[in-house]
Amino acid sequence: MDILQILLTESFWAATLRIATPLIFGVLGALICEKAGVLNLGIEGIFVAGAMAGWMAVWFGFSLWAGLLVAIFVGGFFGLIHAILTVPLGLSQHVSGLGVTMLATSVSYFTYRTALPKVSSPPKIEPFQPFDVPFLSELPFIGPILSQQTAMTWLAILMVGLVWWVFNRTPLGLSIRAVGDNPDAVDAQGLSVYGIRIGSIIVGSSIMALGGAFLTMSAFDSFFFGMVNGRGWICIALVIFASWRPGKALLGAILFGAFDAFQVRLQTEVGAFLPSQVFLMAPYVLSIIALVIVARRAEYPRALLKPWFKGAR
Amino acid sequence: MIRIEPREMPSKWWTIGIPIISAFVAILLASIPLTLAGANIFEAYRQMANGIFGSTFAFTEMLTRATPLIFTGLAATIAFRAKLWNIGAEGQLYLGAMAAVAVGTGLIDAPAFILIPIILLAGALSGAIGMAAPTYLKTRFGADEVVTTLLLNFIVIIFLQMMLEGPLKDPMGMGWPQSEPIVDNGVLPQLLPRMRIHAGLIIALLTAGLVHLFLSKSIWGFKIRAVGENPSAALHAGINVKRTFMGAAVVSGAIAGLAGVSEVAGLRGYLTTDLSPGFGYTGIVVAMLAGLSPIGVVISAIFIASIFVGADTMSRAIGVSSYLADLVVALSLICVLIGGFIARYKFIRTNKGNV
Amino acid sequence: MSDSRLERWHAVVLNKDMTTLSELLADDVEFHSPTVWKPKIGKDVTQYILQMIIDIFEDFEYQREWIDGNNFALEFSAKVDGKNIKYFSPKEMQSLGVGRIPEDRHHDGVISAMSVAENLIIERLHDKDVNNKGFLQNKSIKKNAEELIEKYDIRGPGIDANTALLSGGNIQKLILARVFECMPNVILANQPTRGLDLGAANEVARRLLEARTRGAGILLISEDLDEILELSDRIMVIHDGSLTEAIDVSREAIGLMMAGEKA
Repeated sequence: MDILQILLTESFWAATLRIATPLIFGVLGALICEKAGVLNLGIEGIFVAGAMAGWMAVWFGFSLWAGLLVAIFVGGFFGLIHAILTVPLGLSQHVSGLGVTMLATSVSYFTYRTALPKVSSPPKIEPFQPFDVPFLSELPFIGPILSQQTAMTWLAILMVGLVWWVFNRTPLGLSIRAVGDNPDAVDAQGLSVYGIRIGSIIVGSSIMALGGAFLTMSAFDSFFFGMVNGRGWICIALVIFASWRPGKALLGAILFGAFDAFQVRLQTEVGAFLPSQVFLMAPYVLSIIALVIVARRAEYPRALLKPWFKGAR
Repeated sequence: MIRIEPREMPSKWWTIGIPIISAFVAILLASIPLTLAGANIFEAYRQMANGIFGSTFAFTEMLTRATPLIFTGLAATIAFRAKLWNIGAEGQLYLGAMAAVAVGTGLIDAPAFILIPIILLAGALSGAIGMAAPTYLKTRFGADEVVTTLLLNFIVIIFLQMMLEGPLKDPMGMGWPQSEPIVDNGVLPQLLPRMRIHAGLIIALLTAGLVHLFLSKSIWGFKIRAVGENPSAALHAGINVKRTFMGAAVVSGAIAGLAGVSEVAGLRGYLTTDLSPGFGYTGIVVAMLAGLSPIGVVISAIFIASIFVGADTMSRAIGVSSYLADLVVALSLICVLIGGFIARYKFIRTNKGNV
Repeated sequence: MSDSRLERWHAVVLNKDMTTLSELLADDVEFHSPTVWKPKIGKDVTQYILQMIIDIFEDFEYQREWIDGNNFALEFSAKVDGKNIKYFSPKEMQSLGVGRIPEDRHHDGVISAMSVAENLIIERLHDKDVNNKGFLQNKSIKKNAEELIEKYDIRGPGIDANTALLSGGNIQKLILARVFECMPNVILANQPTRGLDLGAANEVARRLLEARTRGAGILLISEDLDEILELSDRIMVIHDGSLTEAIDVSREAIGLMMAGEKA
């Protein structure tokens, strides 16, 4: 009754898309790395780094789009570190990823605190504004929802299409998929397994950083410690849930966003009966449940987590 | 072209030397952000050393800080030896702390030599469950434990907030979300007068010794090592891989739970949401730096604790953000990874075309 | 109608009544089983097999029945040589005296990062000389390793060296040592001499024949025709999912069967 009404409001769906956007970037980024055969647990730290770097660029006078470029660059930088550790050196992808997360987070926090001394309320920037696409915003119901979204959300959706197209319609995408499935075959064709994997990780990490940047440059307008709060990890779970497909990734992110938006509204409806924390827990619990459901049948890229070295070992 | 070949047998010197060298390299690399932050490097390092060795109090503070890290480092060591990625030590720590507070704030009236073991047991059990659940999901459904333990951390912390505003709340706490204090009989005794160092350290050291004993000398430890190195061969040799995982999980979680008990019943006296500044995650670095050796964990924990305590002092003295400590810790992890690689492989230059 | 057939079937099993069995079987009856690759067709051969089963299986009992019109499914339990017939875990296989030489010795046979001594006792973790109240008996493990590397000529940097440092042939000898020391009754040998030099391969062959003389049953899977011809009492050829016995054991005949030609 009330629940259905929530589902029919524009604000609900607008919030859904807003919550989903960083997840879309994160899942796409993680998906690209994993398709190439490397698990990138640096995602949580890269989110923080993207959030901080992009925001700070704008704070120091760059434009919003330039800020995004900075975030992309920073993400790619940390991706490179992870790539070197895991591809030519073949070190544990789990430990390397965690190390990158720790490094990226601590560098970001240190830089922020050093550049901006403690003040009572965090400094703000002028974030992305809601973006009005001329024809689409005329549509009933969907229109107002879409016109409340910023350019970054549109970017995220476009990126889903772009990633899909590259993976399924270009030789580059094919070689990335091959390298995550059967690197020996790729090597036999004369392509560089190392190069493709390193490149994929850098690109994937750059896209992850956009997810973080969205938080400080679109959803909110300032950077605060602990704002990423596990979104990166949720993306790792969602990638499995999306069977490593960009389309399903979009769907998964939106579903998750819907659930999260729902629990916020549900809280105001039934908040009297249950403590607010139950609702706060819900997204994480949901991610675990989703993971358990799909884990059995998940078709991991066959070379995932297996280091590959040139020349048989 | 450079070809990589495994070294015959990494010598003992490499195995011990690499973590030490990595640690120093990390500290040295810290000079870069220090310079960028405009600090005087020598002054900075001097203040750090001051914070560790400057006084007896400073030194005991460092040991107090090392205590939970020994626990979480041991927790990570056991799990990682089985290639069971327990990233949930943070949550297990809080579960242990909650159990300690549930049991130790007046529920049971008993003399210290009964109550303290009960509190320890409760905390260990609580932490054990915290790791057993995700591991069960792994063995039964194939759900990757990295993600589940990570997400569980967040769930536990939210649950903690719920508890501290509800059943565990201290009615005399002036409205703050904190628990009632542990009763006198439940507090872990101080080791030195006027210092904060407490018996938790003794328990941690004992635990390290036990873990070392069991990992290297027991059948159970053998199975854990075998499963961690090659689960397929272990299974075919008749080892029950699933049961081994669960065993490692239970012990790992229990020890992480003890970290929480130690902090609550030994140091703070009551539970708040900021009991742990990431001890669980830092424990992973402690374990890796120690090369997954239980005795090494003690040394590694002391090193990492020194970094944090030293950075705090330095931060107060010259105004550089204490996040530098987290940076050094992260750098240590990456350095030890690279170092381990260098120790295990030798580099051979070959001409193109030669095999 | 169907009930009486079922009753008669039960009577056959209970009383080992071969005449009634003969009446029950149709002329074109088919016998399917995991133990035969191609179904056996015909009354005579089916009766022959069923008779053998009824004779050999002890404590034969039907546990459950499902009846659906003219279709019956009967679940049974039985024992052979005092042991229950059911799915065996690797651990049970070992305790039943089954030795296993795996195809991928590096991946499934040994744990490369562990020492030679450790790999030699990995299948015997609950034996008295290895396990004392849950702790490793390092002295006797070491002694065991020293004896075995002597006896089986396992060459390498020493019993405490990582198994990864041994050559393929010596790893195989390690596995042989582990298997044969237990005097198994059944040996499953999957490509045991692949990648080995002549000396090592001969060693494997010698040990297998030794075990066979002792009375062990050996299932040898191999692609090496010479080895098969030299070692085997019976040869069966797998082609395209079916298993057929080779009556003519000449190289040509077997080669043809491997290519799919009927013998």
